[in-house]
This record gives sequence, structure tokens and C-alpha cells, in this order.
Amino acid sequence: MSGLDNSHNDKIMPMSEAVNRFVKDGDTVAIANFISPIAYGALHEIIRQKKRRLTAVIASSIFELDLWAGSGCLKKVIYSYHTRLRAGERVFDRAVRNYKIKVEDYTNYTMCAMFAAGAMNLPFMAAKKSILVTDLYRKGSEKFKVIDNPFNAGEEVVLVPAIHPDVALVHVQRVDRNGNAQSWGATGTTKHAALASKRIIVSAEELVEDDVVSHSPNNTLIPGFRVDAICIEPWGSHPVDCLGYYDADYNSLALFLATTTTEEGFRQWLDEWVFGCQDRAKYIEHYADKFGDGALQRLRAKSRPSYPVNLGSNLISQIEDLGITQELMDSAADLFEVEVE
Amino acid sequence: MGRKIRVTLDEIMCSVAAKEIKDGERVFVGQGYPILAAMLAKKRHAPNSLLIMEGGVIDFEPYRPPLHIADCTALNGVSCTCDMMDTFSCYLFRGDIDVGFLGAAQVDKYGNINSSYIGDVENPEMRVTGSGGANEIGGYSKRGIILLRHGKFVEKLDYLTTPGYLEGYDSRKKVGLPGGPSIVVSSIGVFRFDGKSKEMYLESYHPGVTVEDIKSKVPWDLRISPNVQRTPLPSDEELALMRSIAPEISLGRAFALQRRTTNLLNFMQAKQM
Repeated sequence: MSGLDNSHNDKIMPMSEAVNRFVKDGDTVAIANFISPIAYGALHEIIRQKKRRLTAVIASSIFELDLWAGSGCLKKVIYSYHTRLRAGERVFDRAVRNYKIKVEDYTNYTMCAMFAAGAMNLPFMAAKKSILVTDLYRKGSEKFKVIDNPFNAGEEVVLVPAIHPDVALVHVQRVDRNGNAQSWGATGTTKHAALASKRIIVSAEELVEDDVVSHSPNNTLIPGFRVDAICIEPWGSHPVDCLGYYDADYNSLALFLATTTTEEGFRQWLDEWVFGCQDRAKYIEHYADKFGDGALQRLRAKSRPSYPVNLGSNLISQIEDLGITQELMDSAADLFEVEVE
Repeated sequence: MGRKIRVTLDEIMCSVAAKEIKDGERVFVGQGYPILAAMLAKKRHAPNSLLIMEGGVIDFEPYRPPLHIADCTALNGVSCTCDMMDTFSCYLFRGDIDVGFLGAAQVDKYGNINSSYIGDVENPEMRVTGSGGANEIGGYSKRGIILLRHGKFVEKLDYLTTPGYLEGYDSRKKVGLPGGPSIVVSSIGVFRFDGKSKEMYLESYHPGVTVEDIKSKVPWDLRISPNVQRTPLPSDEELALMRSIAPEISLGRAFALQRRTTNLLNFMQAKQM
């Protein structure tokens, strides 16, 4: 970890404070990343703080939706996919029934399109005709609008509206104290989902010096000025992967699947891994206690550094380039005199 | 007595699907069978195929099967990582993708797919995964490979998620969608689509399954290819390759789960020592 003096920076805070300040009951909350990395630290904290009547917005879910729906946090889900890794009912399925959660489904592209329109503050985005000829449209026509292409009369165009979540939860590899959030690998829906949202909570594996960011600006997915809270959470994405830090924990995923076949199993899992651990650090401590530190270290990524790129230039100033002196400046033809007072 | 081999249904299906990929093609792959089929193709007859995952991974070389469609930890190398908006809009919608893989809970005779709801939408017997990328991948790939591992053949879909040939003949073309599915690789046999009517017919039956068994599981009057035969089995080399690169997929779900459970127990025991 860097030796930054954070005392003057009020964006860096524990996840408990970030969730307390920026997530309200009834909010529409985007789980901004696509499958990995995921801000699991934030997801768990929202459950611990018993946030209620949330609308979750997510493209594809592994068990993000199981966690929130099963914990009673949700009144509505806007999504495109929730995986089925074993036969039988998922936690999500039971919860939708028990808590009467409203479910609105789209496709991965139309989720991207709604996030993009939201991020750009455009009213809507065009989708493709493949939607129109299916039940996604026929049995859910209130979700889409069809217009005649104003530039090509007679052509039907499907539209999806912009979405503007109240808050986005984002996990990234590294962040600086200003909130510049850097991520690499497949970036899925992260950028648009975050930028479409009114508030952004960023959790990161690592806090880095400003200098690191200014020497790798292409890796900045979300500029710091948009970020409201910065939470430094190593292993924040466990049990899914975070490229360059750790791989997915297949055994942990299997454990979740095996123990949550029943409602009772799910409650026990929550008690152990969410309510039983007050924050991400305690969660990881518990993991190491239970399975041994070796199990954790086994997930760690080996080094495969990016080739450095040259961000430099010739550093010749205009004064040097023009070869000018103060005397020459004073002789500029366009100069004119004006009385000051 | 002929020579005998030991093989899983998963291996038969992946080997058939792999052969659908031609060298040099651009392939949209998903997690599970598609990725193993694509890895197999790339290591054997299609070394110049280009693999894309919708999460934003273009032209990659996996050392193990990615866990999901944004998993870069499984790769030896990748040429381009990007947003999911890019993979759909800049490449798929432009017509750059030759082959797309599609899973299904239900499929009808024209290769239309349901992966959303079993039963009524408002009060479903089962919520399936939902479309994910399927609707647009099925809509805009030049060819679709449908994988039906646990799904069913139905007369009428409970819900149409992804367009196949719609009502058959030129109905897909008429609405302006390119391509369409070329094959259905199921757990009982392999099916293709008639060039004119676009109706599905049986091309081959898997070992241990008869044509009659298949007819009984297909609710319409299934056409049978005059050259119907037993599904070609993976070669020894293919089997060895699949088991070395992806035993978790190749050897089946039960085997994988058993290994994972054993691993967990081993971790806990190792810690206690």
C-alpha cells in the first residue's frame, strides 16, 4: 500500500460509511461491472445495513442477484441474465416468489444501450430488429418503443430508454486518492453503467499514487471527479476474479452452490459470510481461518506486466519552437495600448 | 468385437460442435461447451479461427477454459480488450461474426430458442437464465450453433427469446435478419436445417440412442436424413486433448462437482494439520 497522506481527502472511507451515506432505501442501484470483477464488499455491506426496496440493475449475474434478492433487499430487478449452475431452484427464484420482486428482463446489448444512453444523457438508444421478432418485445412491449426511422422512412427501429441509477457500485484494480478508477481486461458494462449513475462508489484492490495514474491514463475507466466514495478493499471481488490480482475461486463458488439449495442453507451462508464478518478484511480473515491461508494464496495472480508505452513528447515549448525572446514578443504587430485607470 | 472407447456425452457434443468451426472464422463463444468446442477447433483443424467473448475479449488464446464471458485470467494472451458495447455494436452488428453459440431450454422445429421462461411469463414454472447475449448473437451471427444439453424439443415455445428461422422458409430473411442456425447439437443426436423449408431434420443419433427414441422426444413429425448414421465419436487424440485442457467440462458435471468438494475438504484438513 502506498504511503499517501489521506488526511485531507474526504472521498476515501470505509465501505460501511460509503453505503451509509450514498445508498438509500428505495434507490436504484447499478452493479456496474460485468461478471468480474464485482464489488462484492459493497454487495455484502448493503445486506448488512439491511437496505430495502432497492431496484437492482445488472446485465449478467452469477450470484449477485441471489444475494440481494434472498436477503430481502429488492423490490425490483432489471437484468438480462442470471446463471443456472445447477438443476433446481436458485436462491433468486425462491426470493422472487417470497418477496414478490418485480422482474424486468432485457438482453446484454439492450442493457449496454440503456447504460450508454444514460451515461451520455441522451433520451434513448437504438436496438436491433432481433428484439422485435421475439417475445422480448411481444410479451414486454412496454419496455421498448418502435419508431419509423426518420432518416429512412418505412424502416422500423426499436428503442430502449436511458437508465439513470441513483448509485453505481464499481470494483476496479486500482484507484488514486482523487478517485481516478483504473481497470483493465474486459470492461463489459462498467464505464457506461457507472457514468449513467448519479453517485458512484468505487472499491479497489489498491490505492496508488497520483503519479501512477498520470503515467497510465488509458487505464482510467472512471475519472475521479465523478467518484463520490473510494473504498480500499483488497480481495474485494472474491470469489470472482480480479485480473492481475487473483483468479476466480471455483471452490468457493461450488461451496455457495452446494450450501444454498435450501432457504435454511442460504441463511446459514449469510450468517457465516455476510453478517458474521463486519467488513471485507474480516471476510478474508474468516476465509483464511477456515480454509487456510494457502487456499487464498493459491488464487493469487502471477506476474504478467503490461509493456510500458511511451507517454512522452519532444517537450519543446512554443517559446523554444518559435525561437523568441522578450524583446521579440514586445514587437508583436497585434499589440495595442490601452489605458488601465 | 470392435475396439471400445470410454467417452462422455459432453465430449461427443463438444467434438461435433468443434467441427462446425472452420479455419479462419470469427467465433462468438460463451462459457462451458462453446469454449471447449472452440478451444478444440483452434488446437486442431482451425488454428486461425478468432475467438471473441462478449464481455470485451477479442482474439484470445486460453490456457484453460474461461469461467465466464469476461474472464481474462484464463488466457495466455489476448489482442484486444474492450467494453461489451463494442463487441455487440462494432463487430456483431456490423456482420463481422461468422459463428455464434447458443444454449437453449426449449427449441422448436425452426431453431427458434427459449432461454427465458418455462410456463407463463407472469407466473413461470421456471425462470431460465434470460437472454444474456443470445437474442442478438442468434440474430446477427452468420451461423448459429445450438447446444441442447438439458433442454427440450417443443412444438411451441413457451417464450421466444432468440430468433431461429421464425416460421421457416424465408421468414427470417424477410424481417431482415442475416444467417440463422446451422446445427443443433443435442444430448440425443445432431440435427440440421432443410435448405428450403428451414425445418430441422435428424442427421445423426448418439451411441445408445435409436432413431425411434429421438422421434419419441421430438413432438413434431421429425424428418430423418436419408444418410442418417451414428454420431461420429471423438478420436483418441480429441479425447486426450479435451481432457487435458478442460477436464471439468469434458468429464461432466458430476465429476467436476466431486473434485471441487474433495478439494474443499482437503483445504480444511490441510489447515488443521
